[in-house]
Amino acid sequence: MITKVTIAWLPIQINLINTLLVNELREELQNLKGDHTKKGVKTCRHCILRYKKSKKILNIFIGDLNLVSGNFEQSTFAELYENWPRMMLDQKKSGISFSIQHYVDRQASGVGDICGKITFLSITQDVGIFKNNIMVHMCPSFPENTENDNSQSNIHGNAQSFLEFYPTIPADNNFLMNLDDNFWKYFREQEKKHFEAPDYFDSKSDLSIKKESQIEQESQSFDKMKAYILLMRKKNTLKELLKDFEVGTGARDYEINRFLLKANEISINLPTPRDITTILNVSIH
Amino acid sequence: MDEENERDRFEKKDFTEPTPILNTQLSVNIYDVIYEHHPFHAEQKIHVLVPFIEVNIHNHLFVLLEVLEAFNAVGKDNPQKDEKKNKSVIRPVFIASDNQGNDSLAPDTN
Repeated sequence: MITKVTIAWLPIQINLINTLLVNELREELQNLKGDHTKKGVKTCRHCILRYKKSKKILNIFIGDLNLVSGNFEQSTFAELYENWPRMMLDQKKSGISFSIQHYVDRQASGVGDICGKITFLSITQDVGIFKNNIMVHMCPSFPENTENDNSQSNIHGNAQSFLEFYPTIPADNNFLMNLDDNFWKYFREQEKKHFEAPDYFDSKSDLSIKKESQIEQESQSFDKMKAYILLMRKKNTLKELLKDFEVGTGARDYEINRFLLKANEISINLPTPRDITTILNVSIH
Repeated sequence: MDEENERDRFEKKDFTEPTPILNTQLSVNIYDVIYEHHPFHAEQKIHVLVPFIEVNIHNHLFVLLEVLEAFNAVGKDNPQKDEKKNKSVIRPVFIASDNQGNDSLAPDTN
């Protein structure tokens, strides 16, 4: 009987301990909040914990880093190349390339083939105490022979279909150097740029108009090996604790998770009408 | 000349050779910090480099997947004698079967 009573009390005890822990954490966070309002504090513990501190940084690169950055050898990413002599890597192969081919009697017919290529893709995840952010950069896909061969014909004399993807937002030139320890700062800058809407009630200054036109020009002049931001995801974690922890004008920022995915154009070109039927045939089979 | 060479190479190519479905390389570095709860450094960093991924899919692959799916379904469950009692019997479905339209493999509900 005594055992039963103990078991019955156990969940209540656990709840009590949890509540005490949460209250303790809340008090600690309130102390840190004091750091933020104090003048002369250079390293604000509130800001470090809220934005900077990372528990895990994950970087997945698909493609050769040499194609997007000339000075990545100064970063820890260079260690990824330690076991590979440069000669082994073929830059023409860089990135993701896929082809869907139609075979007839064990031979590639060349009709209805679809090819696609993304020269470079990077996925960065930053997991902190109050954050779980993701950012994806990419260099767009281009048909390999577009510049030299406008007919886009393969060795069979048949034209190939290309799946093309064009993102919108140009990334910084040295974005690769920002994907390691400085990622939090880079993400914060991009967050302010793309997530926080400008105040349209204020009259626009000449400087902001100039900046906008510059961004428009940059997006129009498409550079082959220039990297673009494809996706951004900002996710706040432990929102209940953040509730009392936030300070300043963006005090309700903790409530909102944000997601951005921008593509200028996604297209597939089919050179001949019979390609449509062949592609459908491959898909159905 | 290049085009002619390429055409010659194509004609001499043996198409009975198996086509590689996936061709890739992989390098992974994982770093753990010595001091846990360090104010500036991340506690763990994982860097993955895949210089290239080549994926080739052709229509024969769909048939292969279909066969694998059929074997998987047959191996998992033996159909019960009385199907009325067990209507959730998993049966292989042949996607590319010519008779699929006329002869339904769905269990008889009568």
